[in-house]
Amino acid sequence: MGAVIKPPKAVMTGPVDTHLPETGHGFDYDLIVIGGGSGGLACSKAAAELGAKVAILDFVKPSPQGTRWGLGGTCVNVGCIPKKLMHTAGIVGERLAESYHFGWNVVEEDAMNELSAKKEKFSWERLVENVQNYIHGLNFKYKVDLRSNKVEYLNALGEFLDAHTIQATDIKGNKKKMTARRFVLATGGRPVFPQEVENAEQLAISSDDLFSLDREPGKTLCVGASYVSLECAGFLTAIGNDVTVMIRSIPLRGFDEQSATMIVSHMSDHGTKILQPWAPSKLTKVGEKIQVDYYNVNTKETASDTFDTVFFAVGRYPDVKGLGLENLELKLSPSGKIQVDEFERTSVPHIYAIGDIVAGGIELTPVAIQCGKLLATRLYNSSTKKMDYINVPTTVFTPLEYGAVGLSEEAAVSKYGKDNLNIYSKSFNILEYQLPHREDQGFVKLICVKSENEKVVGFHYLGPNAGEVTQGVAIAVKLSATKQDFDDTVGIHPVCAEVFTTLRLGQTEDSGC
Amino acid sequence: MMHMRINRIGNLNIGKGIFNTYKRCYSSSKNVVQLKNLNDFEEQVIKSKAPVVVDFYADWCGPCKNLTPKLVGLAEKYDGKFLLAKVDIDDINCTEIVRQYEIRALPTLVMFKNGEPTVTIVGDRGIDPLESDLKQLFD
Repeated sequence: MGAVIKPPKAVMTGPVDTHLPETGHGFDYDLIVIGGGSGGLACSKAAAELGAKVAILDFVKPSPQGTRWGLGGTCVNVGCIPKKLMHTAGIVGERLAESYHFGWNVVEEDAMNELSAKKEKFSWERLVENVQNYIHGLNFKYKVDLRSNKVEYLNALGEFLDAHTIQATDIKGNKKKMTARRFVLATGGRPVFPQEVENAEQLAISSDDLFSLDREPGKTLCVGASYVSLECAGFLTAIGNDVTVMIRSIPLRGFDEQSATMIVSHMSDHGTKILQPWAPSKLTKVGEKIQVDYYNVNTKETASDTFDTVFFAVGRYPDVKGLGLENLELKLSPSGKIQVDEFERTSVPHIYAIGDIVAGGIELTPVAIQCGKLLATRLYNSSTKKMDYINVPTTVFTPLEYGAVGLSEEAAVSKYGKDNLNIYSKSFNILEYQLPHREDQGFVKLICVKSENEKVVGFHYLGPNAGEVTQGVAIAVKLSATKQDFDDTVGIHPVCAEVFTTLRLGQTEDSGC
Repeated sequence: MMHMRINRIGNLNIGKGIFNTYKRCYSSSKNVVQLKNLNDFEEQVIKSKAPVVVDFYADWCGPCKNLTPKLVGLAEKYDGKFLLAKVDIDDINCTEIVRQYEIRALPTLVMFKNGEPTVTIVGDRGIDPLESDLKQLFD
């Protein structure tokens, strides 16, 4: 490793470092992007399109269970994409179970009520095979995309030797030195295995492993209150597994609490066991199964149970190991993430960072993509446009889907004070659930600021197709829509989303159509 | 870089859709060979006296699963008239071959005569057009 070489004092006249020339700088590349995920791919392609000479490195360190995957990052391989497909597998099962009531003679009435009945009709192997085949197709597509965009791609691990030089090591151990005028760090994060739980890393799996698991998950313990834990527990239950979720304190910390409670309540109604507030202390292998010793966080009472699969989703850590950042005096946050300013600049002027690895960012694919594209336009097209982190919409794909844009009720009360808010909320019946006599309801909440003409600062929707519903509303919220705008918009009938065009204070229950 | 005109298009996979696993059908016939690396390619395809059909495929590609067995069948039927050379694009040792022929979609067939690529077919168009193209290759 080289000694710390301080780059020349940067001259910051704008969002971009200008202490070195833009062309004729003598480095191999204008830009090297380290990390081929959502952010890295978007940034590298946008930069190349603007004329920069770009190289991108992507390398997947195996999970503790040995799982690896191809180009595309977390979202494509072990995140959003397989998750949504498996969530859909659960929904298809729900529809199948209800199909009798809609006239279909495929599954008898009530024939799929029990978990065991669902499991019998389900092939985990085929779901995994189909999902993985699709993902491999995407891995290939991204390689082709990079080539079309004239971005050089290396399947190699990048490590800084000095401020302008990295060493790229491929899987066979071949090393190559590469220099660049600028770098973008986009290496993302990986699932945490809590060190205080004995044998967690050795015996349990994470989201890195679940979507390609070569055996049926079976009786599963999902440890964690994150959306990863709840989403996975949700679809695993829907496809017939005996699933328990273990939550240390509250579900979905940081999200709207009322919505989070309803999500968990719905899961409990549909067969997922919820252990709250409990936490695991030790895992022990017992034959082919795993014994989990756990304790009540409040009473300290202890208990134990045996599972086929233990799944940890308690958080993610930034993947900075092996990057050689210690050679650069690059500032990290206390949690180990990279500190950047509003222009994605790190403490080293010509090195930038985007995506999950960034401190204080939002860990979502579209945010990383947007950041990457904007950064490229600032670097190579003289743009000064910054990333806007306000009112980023999101959706949690639990069995009761949850879409939100803006502030949670807790955040809104904290920011504006309860007296300055009008909170409109309503539970509503879902037409399609009436034939199969399904009792689940939807829920919507609109948080409006009285002193700002009832501007909508928080939108929350629980119900089917939450992502599709929320995406449209996100545009309205971005345009500073008020309660009046929502009221003036004519609803579409009969859909769930129309309910937020007719909200009244005090009318919180559906009175029927 | 080899620049080839794509002559024919059929059902193909450019990374979209959900497909069945293609189970690698290893044939021990003298008419079918699995290419191991660029060197292998030079020896078996470029230097071949007989025409060669190079089949670029992947395990995860549905249309490839349909096409390759048809090709194997045709290789047996026209015993000795052409060689079927298969390239698994996910095989790390075949990366250079895939790069040289700029494969962008699967399956892609490149037909060689006297070491030169003649016709490129992207996708599975069914057995009749395929057989017709093949006959033109070795007649």
